[in-house]
Amino acid sequence: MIAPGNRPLKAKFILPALTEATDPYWRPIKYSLFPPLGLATLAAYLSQDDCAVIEDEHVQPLTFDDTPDLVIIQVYITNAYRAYKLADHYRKRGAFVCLGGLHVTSLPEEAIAHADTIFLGPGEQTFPQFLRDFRAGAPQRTYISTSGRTLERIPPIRRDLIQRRLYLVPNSIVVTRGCPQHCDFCYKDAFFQGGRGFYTQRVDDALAEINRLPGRHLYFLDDICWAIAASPKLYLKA
Amino acid sequence: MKGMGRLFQGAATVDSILRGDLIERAAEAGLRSIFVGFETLAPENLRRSNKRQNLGRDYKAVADRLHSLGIMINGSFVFGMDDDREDVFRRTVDWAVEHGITTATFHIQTPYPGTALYARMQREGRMLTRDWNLFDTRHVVYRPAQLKPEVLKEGYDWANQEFYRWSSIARASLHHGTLKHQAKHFFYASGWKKFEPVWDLMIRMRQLTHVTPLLEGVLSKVTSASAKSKLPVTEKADEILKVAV
Repeated sequence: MIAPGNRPLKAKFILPALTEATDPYWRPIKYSLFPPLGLATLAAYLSQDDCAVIEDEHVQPLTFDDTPDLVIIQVYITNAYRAYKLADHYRKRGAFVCLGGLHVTSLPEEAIAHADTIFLGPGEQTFPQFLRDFRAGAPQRTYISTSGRTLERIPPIRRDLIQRRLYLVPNSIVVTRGCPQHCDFCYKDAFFQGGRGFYTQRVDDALAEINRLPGRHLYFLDDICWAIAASPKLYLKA
Repeated sequence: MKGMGRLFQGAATVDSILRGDLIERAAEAGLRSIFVGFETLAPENLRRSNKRQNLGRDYKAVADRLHSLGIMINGSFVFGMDDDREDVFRRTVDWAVEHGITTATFHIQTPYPGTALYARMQREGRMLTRDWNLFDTRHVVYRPAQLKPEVLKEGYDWANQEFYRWSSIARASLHHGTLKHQAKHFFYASGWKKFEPVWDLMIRMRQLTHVTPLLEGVLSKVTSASAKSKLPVTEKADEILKVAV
């Protein structure tokens, strides 16, 4: 590939629809609750000159005739086939396609057949590393998150890329990663393999994030009590 | 966050709710509803799934504590764990209704690739499919230990209908002591499950943000607290309830 160097990138982030969101049981409201915060978190690592868009198939029809340089798709188990189809489509159109998420981390050999690069585990450290490698023209096939995981100094989530009016709870927020428990049915141990399985945002960063959210209502998607136990100041600070 | 005038919803585990005064502090800071993974009422299931933090915990104490703080409960329950027999559906729904759980999410146990549960099911030759589209917690993708797959599916469907019958919603609402608390439970649960055409319309009109103030109203305080922490939105909720009644 030709190294893009510092040329501005066109990056497209996609959350494909979960299969259950399209079956007869579908309750549209249930899939219009929370915006894709993970993708907005990754988008924050782009440079200022780059152009980014997030498309969430649960709330909007996807566009297929665009020509992004970079496509990043979040893969869950029930949108995996859809994600692979979209990945194939964009690779044919000449885009560089990245896949990541719970299902990719569980079954990397299945996902890599449809991707230029895959990401195993959380992306806060590996995605910026990938962007540097990509600009230099030498992206790796696989990025595995291991040691050094932290939420310190991560850039603020790109909430400007989220169309708030399409969601019932645009003010959803995550201040921790992982969980201190090890339930056998949960993805957590597999996803966080090789490094820390539970860590939190700094109190000041969390408060700053909360202050950026308009209105009064918030929805914490992580375990609120563990978050309080880990950083009691968050809840007492006026 | 205390003093920031926020209302919020979140998730928690059974043992973190019972631990110290964390939940009281969260309530003071504005916590109004909470997602709780009860998973199962059978201790043997908890032991096997290594969800040890739920073991020996008094689920009733969890529900009572949250109710007394005016926090609504979205309870999550899983069917089809190895200790579950045909009575699991009725026992679970009855428990949830009797203890005033506001909304419930039921799931069919689904072993995801990469998890210890999936590895065990594979070892025991119990996985039935690799069609990932079916791994949505509404289909049976493994062989349950004591239930026929079709009984598990039917029981799951039955539980969803039974919990959200008008009579069940009313009965669960009546669990609460004050009329205001009862009304809040009733409107939150029925608003969530019974007003589908309204939700669909709002989505089509791309107007979901306009529901947020209503949600804030329904989430307002029901416990009588000190005047200092009384939020102006409480009055708004009263108006909404008056109009609704």
